[in-house]
Order: sequence, then C-alpha cells, then structure tokens
Amino acid sequence: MPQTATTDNADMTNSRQRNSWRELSFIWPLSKWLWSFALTLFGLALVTFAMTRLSPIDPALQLVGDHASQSTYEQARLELGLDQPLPVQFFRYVETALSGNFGQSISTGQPVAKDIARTFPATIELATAAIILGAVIGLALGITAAMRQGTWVDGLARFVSLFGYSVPIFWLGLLMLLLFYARLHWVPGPGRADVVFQYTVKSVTGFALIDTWISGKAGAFRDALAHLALPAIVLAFHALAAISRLTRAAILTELGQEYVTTARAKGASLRRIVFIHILPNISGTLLTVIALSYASLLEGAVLTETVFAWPGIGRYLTTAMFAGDMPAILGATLVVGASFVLLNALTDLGVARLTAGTKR
Amino acid sequence: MSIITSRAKLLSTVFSLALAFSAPAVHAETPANVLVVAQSIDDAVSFDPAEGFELTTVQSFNNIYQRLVQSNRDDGTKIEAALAATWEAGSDGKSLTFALDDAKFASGNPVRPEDVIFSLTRAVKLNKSPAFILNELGWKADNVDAAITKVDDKHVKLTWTADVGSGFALSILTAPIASIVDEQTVSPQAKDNDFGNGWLKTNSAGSGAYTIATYTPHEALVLQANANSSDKPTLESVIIRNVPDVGARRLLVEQGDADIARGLSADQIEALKDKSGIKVLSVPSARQDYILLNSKANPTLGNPAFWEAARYLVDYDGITKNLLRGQSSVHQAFLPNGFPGALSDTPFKLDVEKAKKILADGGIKTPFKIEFIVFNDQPFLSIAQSLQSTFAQAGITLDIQPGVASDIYARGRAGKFEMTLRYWIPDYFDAHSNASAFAINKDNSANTVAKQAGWVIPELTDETLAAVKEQDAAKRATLYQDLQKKIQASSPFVFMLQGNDQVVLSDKVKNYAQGLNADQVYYDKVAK
Amino acid sequence: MSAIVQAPLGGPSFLRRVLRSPSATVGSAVVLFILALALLAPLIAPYDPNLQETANRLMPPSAAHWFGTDGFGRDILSRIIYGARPTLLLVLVVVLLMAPLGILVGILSGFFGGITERVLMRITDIVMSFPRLLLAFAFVAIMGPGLINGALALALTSWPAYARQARVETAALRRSDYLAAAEMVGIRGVRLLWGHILPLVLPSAIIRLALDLSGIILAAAGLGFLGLGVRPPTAEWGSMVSEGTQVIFDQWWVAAVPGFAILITSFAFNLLADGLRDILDPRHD
Repeated sequence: MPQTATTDNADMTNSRQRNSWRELSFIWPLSKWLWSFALTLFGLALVTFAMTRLSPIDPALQLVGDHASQSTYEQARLELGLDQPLPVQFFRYVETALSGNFGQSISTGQPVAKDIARTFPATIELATAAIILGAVIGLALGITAAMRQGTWVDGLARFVSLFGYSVPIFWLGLLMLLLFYARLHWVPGPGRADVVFQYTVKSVTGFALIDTWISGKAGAFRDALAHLALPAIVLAFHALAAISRLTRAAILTELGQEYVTTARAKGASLRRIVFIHILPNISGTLLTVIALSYASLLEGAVLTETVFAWPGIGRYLTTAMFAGDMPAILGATLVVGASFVLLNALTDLGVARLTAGTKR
Repeated sequence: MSIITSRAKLLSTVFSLALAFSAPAVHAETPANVLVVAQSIDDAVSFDPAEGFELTTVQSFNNIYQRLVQSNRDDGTKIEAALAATWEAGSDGKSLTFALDDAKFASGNPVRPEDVIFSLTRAVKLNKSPAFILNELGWKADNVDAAITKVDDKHVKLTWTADVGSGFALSILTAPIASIVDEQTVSPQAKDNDFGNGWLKTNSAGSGAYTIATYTPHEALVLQANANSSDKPTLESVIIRNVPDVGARRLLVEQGDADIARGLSADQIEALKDKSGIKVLSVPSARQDYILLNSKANPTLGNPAFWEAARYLVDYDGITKNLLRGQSSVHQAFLPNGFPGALSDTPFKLDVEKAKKILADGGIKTPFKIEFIVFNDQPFLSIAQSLQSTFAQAGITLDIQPGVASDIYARGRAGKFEMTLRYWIPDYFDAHSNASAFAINKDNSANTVAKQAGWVIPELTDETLAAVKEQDAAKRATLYQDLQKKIQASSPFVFMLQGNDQVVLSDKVKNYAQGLNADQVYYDKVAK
Repeated sequence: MSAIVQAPLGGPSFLRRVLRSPSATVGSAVVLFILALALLAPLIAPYDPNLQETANRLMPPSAAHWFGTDGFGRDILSRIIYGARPTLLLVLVVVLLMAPLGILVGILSGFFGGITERVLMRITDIVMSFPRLLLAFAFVAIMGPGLINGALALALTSWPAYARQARVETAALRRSDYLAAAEMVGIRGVRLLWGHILPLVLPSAIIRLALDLSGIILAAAGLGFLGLGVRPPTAEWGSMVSEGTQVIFDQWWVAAVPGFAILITSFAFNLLADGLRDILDPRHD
C-alpha cells in the first residue's frame, strides 16, 4: 500500500490541474485503508467470539457460582443472552460495539469502555517506557556485539541480552522487587502509585506520569516515576533481547556485502561504515523489530502486571477470559487489535520512508 | 488512578493531611488512620448484598451493612441483636416479630420496617446467587411480599412456609444476603425494575461501620468510616488493595506498606513466622476440603468398598504437617469443628495394606486408572499430588488433570467426571447448610453435592429434613451427629481437612477479629 | 556478485564450516549434551523423578541431592534430567510449525505485494491481536488436553512475528540488483523464492527462533493449568519453574535450577543460531 501511494505521488506534476488530483489521491488510499482496517477488526471480533463460545467456560456458571439454585442459574443464562442462537448473540455484540460503548462487563459490573479507558493507558505507559529503554540498550548491545564479533565482548553482550529473556519474567520481577524494594529501598512497592497519592491526584488522561505532572502536587510525579521504574526495567530486559540479537545479525549480514569491502578498501573505519552506511540500510528491519517487540509488550505484559499489581489491560483481558466475560473480552481484544493494526501500519509507513531510495 | 467521586472528597482530605505531615519517602509507611489490606479482589462481582457471594464481597458486607440479628463474634452459635433490639417467635412456630432499634443509615435516614421489607423482598425477587439461602424459608418471588409485613413504625413481622423452626430462621437472617439496605437511597437509583441492583453493584447504602468510598474493579476497594453508624469504627478508612501476586503481597506486609496480607501460602507463612514487625494469626475456618467421587461414572467408583478404601489412602498427617503446615487440620465429617453437632472423631489414617484388603474383599481388581480433575491452584495441586502418590501404592493410578474452576464445576453439575477435589464453605451459620448439600438427594431433582456424586439417598434425606425441623438445640445436635457418622462410614465423599485461615498482620495492628465462617471479617474495632 | 548460492546444507564442507565458527561449535556441543541427557535419562538420573518424600521437602543442595529437593521432596537433579525430554519435544513441535508457516506467509506477501500482501497482512494482524490464551481454551474444548495440543496452540499464535520480519526483508530484496540478476537469467517463481529469497530470509528467522525457545518453554508452562502441558507429576522445566516460584524467596533453588537449565539451553541454541547465520549467509566467505 505505501508503495502505491509513493508511485502515485511520484507521477504528479506541478500543474494546478493536478493539485486537485493530489488531494483526491490522498483520500482514496486512506479510505481503502480504513475499509481494510474495519474488515480486520470485524474478522478479529468474529474469531474472538467464536473461540470464546467454543471454550469450556460457562459464563453463567462462573457468575452465579456452584452453590446457586438451578433457577438462579437459568435466569443468569437468560440475562446474558446465552439461550439465543450464536449468530444472534454475535450481532448483538456488534451492535453494542458500533453504538460506541462495548456493553457492560459481566465480571466488574461497569461499562467495558470505562474499564478499558482505565486499564489501557496503564499498559501503554508501561510498554512505552519499557520499549524506549529496551530499544536504546538493545541497539547499543547489538551494535557492540557486531562490531566486536568473536571477542569476549560479543559473548558477554549476547549473554546479557539473552539472560533477561530466558529468565522467567515472573521470577525476574519478584527477585528485583526483593532486591530493589525490600532490601535496598530504592524503589517503592508494587502498584502504580503510593496510597497517599492514589486518591488525591485526579485522573485526567489515565497516564500516571502526565496526570501527576499536571496536578502539581509535590512528590506525586516522582512517586509515579518511581513506581514505573522497576516494572519498566523488567519488561525492557525482555524487549532488548530480540532487538539486540537481530541488530547484531543484520549488521553482520551487511558487513559481508560488496559495498562494505569496497569502503574498507578505501580506508574507512569500521565505526564509520557501521554508523554511516550500514545502519541506514538496515533501518527498515530495525524499525520492524522494535515495533514487533513493542506489540509483544502491549499484549504480553500480563505477568509483569500481575507481579507488580499494575492494573493494565493484559490482566483485565486475562481475568475476563477466565470469567467468560464476552463484552470485556471483545472490547479489550478489539482495542488491543486496533492498536496493533495501527502500529503495523505506522511501521510499514516508516519502513517505506526509510528504505525509499536505498539500493543494495 | 481512580476517578474521585464526591463521596471520596472526604477521603482525599484524609490523605492530604497525611501528605502535609509527612514528606512521602520512597519507603513510606501506611498512614496512621488508614488500614491497608493486601489481598486479591479479582473474585468480586457485585457489592449488592442481594447478589455478591464471593469471599471479597461477603467479607465487606459485614463491615458495610447490618442485619436484623448477627452471630456473636466469639461464639458463632449465639445469635445477638443487631438492627433488631428484641424479637418474639410466633405461636405457630413459623413467624418472628422484630422490634427495631434506633439506628441510622450512612445517609442519615433512620432504619425503618420499610427498609427491612425492601431489602429482603428485593433479594428474593432478584434471585441472584445467594437467593437460595432465603429460599430455604420457602420465600419465593410470588409469596415474599405477603411473608414480610410492617406491624407498626418500629415492628416488622416475618413469616415462612418451609418446615423449619424459628432458631433456623434466625440463623438464616444472619447471612450477608439478609443485610438491610437504605430503601430511600436505593429506590431512586432503580432502573428497569432492577431494585437498584445496577447502582448497588459499586456503591453502598448501609448502616454498618463503613461505606464504600470508591470501588475500582481489580484495583482497590476503599471503605470510609460511617459517621452515622451505631457501630463507629476506630480507623478512618480501610483500603483493600488488589495485589494478585502472593509473593508481592508478602513483600508489602514485610515492608510495612500493607498492614494485613491474606492468602499467603503455607511455606511463605512458615518463613514469616520469625520475622520481627509482623505476626501471623491462625483463625479456624469452616472451610473443608474433600474428595468427591462420581458413583455413576463406572462400577468401581460406585462400589462402597472403593469408597471405604479411599478413606485409608489419604496421607492425612503428611498433608497437614508437611505440605500444608498449619493451614489445615484433619477433619473427617461434614460439619466443621465449631458448628454445633460437629463430629470430631477421625477414625481414618493412612493404611495402604488395609485399603488393599478392602479393595480385594470388595471384588475390585487393581491396577486401574481414575481421571482426577483438580482446580489449577494451591493447595489443590499439592493435595492432589500427595493423593496420587498414596493411591499409587495400592495400585490405583490417579491421572491428575488441572483445570479451570468453572469448567470443573460445570462437569460436576453434569456428572461428567470420575473423581475431583473440592472445598466447601457453609453458606450460613447453621448445620443445615452443609447437611443439605451432603445428605439430601431424594431423586436427583435438587442440585446438591450428593446429586453430583450420583448418590440417591431417600432415607438420609428424610433424616436431614427432620433435623432442620427440630426446635430443641440439643436434640438437633444429636441428629446431626448421627447423620455425620453414617456419612463418614460410607459415602462417595472423603472428608479430609478443615482449614485454618492464616492472616499476616503488622505488629501495629490491634484488635483484628475474624470468625469461623467466611464472611466474618471485622474491621470496625481495628486500631493501629 | 555470485548469484547462485551453493547448497549451504549437507556435505562434508558443511561440517567443516560448522567447526570453523566458534559459536556454532560451542552451541552444538551443548545442544548435543542436552539431547544426550534427554535420551539417557533413565541411566543417568540418580533417583526416580516422581518419588515423593514429603518429610524431606525443600531441602537445600547437599551430597545426597545435588540440587536439593522440591516441594514434594523429589530430587531436583533427576527431574531436570528427565525434564529435558518433554521440554525438547515441545520446542521441536512448536518450531517446526511456527517458523515455516510464518516465513511462508512473509515471503509470499513481500514478494507478490498487491492484494496478496494486503490479505495476508490482514490475516497476520488478526492472528497477532488474538489473545493466545483464548485459542488455548478453545483447543482444550475441541481437541482435548495434551502437550502436543498445547504446542499447537502456541505455534498457531506465534507465527506473525516471523511473517512480518520475512516480509520486510523480502520486500527489500525485491528491489535489489541481486534478484534482478537472477530473474534476468530466467529463474522464476518457486525456484526463485526457494533458492534465492529463502536463504537470505532464513538467517534472521533462525535467530528469532533460537531466541523464542525459552519463551516457548515458559509460555507452555503457563498453559499447563488448562491441561495443555505435562500432567503432574511429570517433570518439565517450565512447570518446575512455575512451581518453584511459590517458594522463590526462601528456597530459591527450586525455581532457579530449572530456570538456569532453560537459560543454558537457550544460550546454546542461540550460539548455534549465530553460527548457522554465519554459515548460511551466502555473501560470507
């Protein structure tokens, strides 16, 4: 798709007649993209609905519990619409989704939209902090390892990057809590904010860092940052593995190329070759890798959220799944799904930008 | 971050004062007038007393609402006055007239007979999870309006059709579902004939020590002192924080960032016992763990010889002493210790040779395999693996299949299982709660545990119904002892353990009280 | 530039190339060692891995039990040795399913572009957004519990990353002189994809595979409660770590030892992957 857009633009001339064409040709690919976006979300909703209904969880039984009487159970089934044929159930959900809200969660009793507005920013905040840390350190490690291939530095860099990923994240989180919170007191305990601030700072955006900053309360921002630090570091450990390994591999692959041998023959230093020639060439791949890691952080932060009592969308979706809470499952999956599609589209655009004009 | 409701503005003042007086360091202690509890609140579905039936919710009802009568905190068998000052049993043995005390709801409204009528009738009509408790009195949606009537401004009369005595009825009225809600606050919030259920899911309208300041699902429940309550709490506020990971909970209470931590495992508690600054409280609980056999699954499982042999293949001592370390004690009857009439005999011990003989005498050939579905959680997985090991010594292979709770319950209801590990917590403080589950199954019509075991017992059913009718307490106790002996000797249930709830408290916490039954958690007298 | 790649796999020259790369050598040595452990388990393990001795539970490492005992008094060393089997099996199944599927989708979309790319990428997006646990739940209902079904559930939700990576690389290659040269010589279609694009896309896929290894083991442990892993009391590294996390603060070795085993295995495979990358890169010597 980005390629079509570029070729269209390239064909434009500067005539005034063509300017109006230019505006229109922006709309057409955009609307095509929106259409495919909607289709993707619909497909996702359909698959999610089907899988949830196939799973052995009975939402009515989950809701009323095992001690409830048969009449209570049957009443719950009716209220949840479980007696209706599947296609009818599905279209009811689509209807509520299209009307703007995602319905009411069975397990929290609150509108799903409200739940998501609370939990999604928490996850985004955590994942973003983690990916920034992870990308910076990961790139550095990868480049170092590639430039010093075969030496102990390479081995060490590879071990460090692997360590954070191979160690269970649960484990890593708990041990870091033990060390940095319980023993050293460098960071506060699990949670997003101190009890004192939790109920005095108004939630405007849902992002703790932003809300505490705007509130102007002394120490609030520092507290939010301190609470964010440890889980972000734990997740970053995870993210940097893929980034550093794939950076290293990509650089090494390029180092075997003809243009590098040529540059070497001309007397360029390794440093110059890597930073001026290679990195721009592989920037597309690097961006894709970083974006993939970001996506996996958005989706897979459940374990970290559990250990650090971070009320994010990962945990929300997981508890919803165990409860068979269809509105919540659909709502959360669609929101996460939409952000993935957006992320992938932005990545594709970025890759197209970065690789436009580069030749091998 | 939670959104501040108007009621929470008072709460924010509380914390702002704390802020003003202490520069919050990274290692902050909890504020002096706030109790911070670290536990899991993921189970909470609704804070409407007519609907909530999970541990988190019923424990909070105790602190937010009051009932007509309540169980004595130290001796659950004694019933004492709460919102009702006195009561009189009717001459026909099927009614009670209560004289209401002067009490006020959090809103300032007085507690009137209209509130009692509203609370109880709505609970029956809404027909949510705990409604079956009130159904025990014969109350149904079509007859409950006539059953509960106002006598005058201070008196309300309750009648019932079920064949039970007034002692039993009083026990039922101590259950959380019988909490009295403020009709004048709740009715205006009603939508689509839901009697205010939608609003009460996340708000409170009670006369208890605390009110709900804010509830953020999966994050925290914040309770705030109720100035109008006759039961004034010592601490200004209680924050029940959701800390899903058990290890993190332990760190919080060790560091003083939480005052109370619940649900820690036996091994963790063992490690904490000697730490300074915290203490471990071990409270006997009414929860029991038992093996449930499906007698209809195959001839072997339906053979009483197998039931008997199974009783000798459980490593009671190994499980309680080594695996669960003080979180459970051995108990082999269906009424837990602490309930009147409980049978405390424990005639069974691990005896593989005896079990083998019983199997041989009963015509059961080994080796054979049983599918053993188990909740994917502790302590069930631990207990299951221990059972696997001991049953194997008699030639029985237990194929452990961990599963999700609702799936296992569904299979239980449908009779699609062979053997499973379950727990039972009484729904209200009366022997009938357990007896009706294990000793009633006339014809597979009602959903009792006996039915799930495929065990039809018309005679035991009659005995149980006679026991609940009995008015004399001592006679009742004997009847239940009798029932327990019969079931202990031969039934598709193998009762093994009665639980001890171990709660970790910071040394600062004083006067924390917890009772035998699941809902009996009291925060009102706690001081720091 | 030498356009056609010599068959990179097979033959004595391959072995020589492996030995020349120190990464590959060390990596394969450790991997072979672990395979040996798995195969020879009954001969090497000092105890029965399922033998419970609850009186001796959670013992620290000692002469009798080199790695101590777990929550049931079972010898951890024996459980590690036996645990290599289901762990490696699981990894094998997932890898064999996940990578080919993802790479195929990626190459096809990157090469053909247009509508093929759009459709395939939409499907990739959907699968990527789909909560993994949900699929696992559905699997239990449709296909029943079991280790292989768990592996399947994991594989079916993890291929998108491979697809996106392969697509980016294929698309970049699409415009390259290298490919244009091959096409000019008359190499088209499947031959082109298989012989020219695949070998260039493979190295980074192998790197990602080796990296994913430990993630797969741990994710599979997470599915254990659905019955999609090994059943208790079977030893498997991932579930041993989960069990050990319960007592992580005081009896740290119960989770640390299997965790370390996972780390070593992962490191070995990653070294091997690095070596393979060196060998497979047709532009290398």
